[in-house]
Amino acid sequence: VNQPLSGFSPIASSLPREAPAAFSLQEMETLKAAVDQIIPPSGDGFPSAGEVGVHHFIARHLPPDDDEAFRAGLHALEASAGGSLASVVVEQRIAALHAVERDRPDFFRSLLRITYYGYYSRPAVAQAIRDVLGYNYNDHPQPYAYRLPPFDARDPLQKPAAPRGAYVETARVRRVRRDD
Amino acid sequence: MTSVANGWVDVLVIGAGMAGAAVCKRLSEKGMRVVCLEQGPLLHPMEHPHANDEWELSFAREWSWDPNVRRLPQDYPVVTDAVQPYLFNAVGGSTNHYAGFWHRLHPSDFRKGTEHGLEGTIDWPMSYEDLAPYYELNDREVGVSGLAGDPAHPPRTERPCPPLPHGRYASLMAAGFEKLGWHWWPADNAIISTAYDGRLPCNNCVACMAGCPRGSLGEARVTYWPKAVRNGVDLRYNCRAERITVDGRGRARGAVYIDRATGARHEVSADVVVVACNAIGTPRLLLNSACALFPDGLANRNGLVGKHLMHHGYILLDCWFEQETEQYKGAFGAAIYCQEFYETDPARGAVNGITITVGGGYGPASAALGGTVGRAVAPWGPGHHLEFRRRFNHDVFIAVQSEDLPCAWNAVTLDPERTDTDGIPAARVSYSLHPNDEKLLAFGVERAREVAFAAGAFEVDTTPLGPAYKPPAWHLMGTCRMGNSPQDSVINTYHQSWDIPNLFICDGSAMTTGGACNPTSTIGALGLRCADMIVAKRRELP
Repeated sequence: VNQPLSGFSPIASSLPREAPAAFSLQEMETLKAAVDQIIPPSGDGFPSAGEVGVHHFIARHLPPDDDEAFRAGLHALEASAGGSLASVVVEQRIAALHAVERDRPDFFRSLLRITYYGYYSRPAVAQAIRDVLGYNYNDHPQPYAYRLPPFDARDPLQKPAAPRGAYVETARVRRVRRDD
Repeated sequence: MTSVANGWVDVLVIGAGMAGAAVCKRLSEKGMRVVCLEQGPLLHPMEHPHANDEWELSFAREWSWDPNVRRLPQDYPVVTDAVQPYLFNAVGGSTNHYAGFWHRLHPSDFRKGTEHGLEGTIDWPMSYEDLAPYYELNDREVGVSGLAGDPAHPPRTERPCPPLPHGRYASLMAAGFEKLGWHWWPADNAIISTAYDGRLPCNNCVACMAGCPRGSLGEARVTYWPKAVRNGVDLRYNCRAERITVDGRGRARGAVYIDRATGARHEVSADVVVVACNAIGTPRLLLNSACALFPDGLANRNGLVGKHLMHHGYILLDCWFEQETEQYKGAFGAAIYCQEFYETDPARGAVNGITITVGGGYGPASAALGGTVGRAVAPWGPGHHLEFRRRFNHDVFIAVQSEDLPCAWNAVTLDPERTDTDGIPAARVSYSLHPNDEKLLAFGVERAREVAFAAGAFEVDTTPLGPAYKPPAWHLMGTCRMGNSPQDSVINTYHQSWDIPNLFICDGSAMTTGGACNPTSTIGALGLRCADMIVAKRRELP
């Protein structure tokens, strides 16, 4: 009763949460430093994950049930680094991420997945796909979608020039020999 | 308290998916008074994620095919370690997000008992020729794109729409099939390539697996339902059937359902009851309707309800090429397919056959996360973007489907502990491949790898076979199969229960065998035929 009638339960949704996860300033700093190491800038035009706000994306899109486990994972990163991940040098940040990848594989996998989903959902990254790679990829499938040339039956790689293939007619189905 | 929600109607249909929609539309145009119950909502186009930046995340959440991932209030749990079930609860059922691959069974599929009879396989009580006119009719109702002339099938008429545009990836793979000299053909899809029946044509956005906000994909919500409702069908969505009721003579009387908005129970009564809840939901409802007269559940005197579950042997492959494949454009559904190995060849060491389909892709996040199979994940750290560039726009998705034998041990039962949000027992699924099918699937994977490398792929990844194999149970079939006698099946050729003559079962569960191809086209054709059988049989009902 009182569940949304049409539409989805907000708990299972990919839409932003009503309130972002209540991470502290230091936890958010750690998260930003972590995603910046997970996806650093490419050097030729792709931004880092932190530059495009993937840490904010994570706070807005984490399933609320996962908040505590996620916070514990961030604290494990800090414990490994000996403080906020942002306050140590890059080598120590990377070492802390490797340690957590080894010791808390579930957390790390979830951090990695939501970082990738977040990063490639950012309009600035779609723009980099267009600018750096030259693909006419859209930010999202609709409403623009894509133009493709219509099916061309004269093209032998669209319709076989010499069609082959066979089927067994109803009246011709016979017992096959089996070796079992 | 249960209240009676209406006067008596001719037919009550439970389930508004492919089969239920076809049954309702056909019955209503023949003048029947029809009520349809659907436990899910009527989705609004704005509920699709296609215009959201985070559209790819939705595939892992609310648009997952797996109800155990979505866990929406309209879903019911499917308790299993064996498979990842694909089903959706809303008006239109699982057609609300699917590839729209629109294969037909072959004539031989209806004669597998004659052909080999392995593991108790029986012939269908009808032939391909009996179903063919309904395939044609269903294609016109749904709106199908494709090309006539495939020598691997009996001749048939032109499709309502020409084939969908073929992207670069389809031509790449076609070159592979040509090199090997294997059958291939432009695929049929329940996706309209030109405006049809007042609907917008596909604009190649690739995201069919999250449904279609344009209405170009053949979702029953946009094909059959508007017409069925205009014909007067009383469609009650968010109404969850709890159990089918029977009268003192052992005839189906109707169903008790729960209005999910209020929690109130109502009963609806009808001369004929049709169960169309898919091959997991249908046995679940029949088993949950056990009563004094039918203590083992309805239509289940021989104990076959829920047995002979078929999913197809199913392997997904990601193939990566040096060339750009443009796989982020186009319809997700198969561009081309290969049925070189569809008919049985005993030389393979296994009976039955396979279909190889070449389909579309997803977006950049999916590419970074290892594509469809999900194992070749781009590394984190400084190497990330280089690997991403090798993967995104360089992949081709292939699926291998092999027929699976109707084995009695593959079954749907009621779970003794878990329930849906209304307290109705969850479904439990056990499933494993027969040794014949393991051999057939392994053969299929080798053929798919062969064609991918012939086409020039530099790397191919597949869902693992062997003990780790957990089939993507995208197809639900066989659990109330149609057969030739009350001993070998649950229903007869009229879709009529052998035990309860005014109880009809029509969805994938009615399929005697599953073939080696996507079943939705067959399920829709069966729905239309079932409606005609109901009209014919109703006069004889006691």
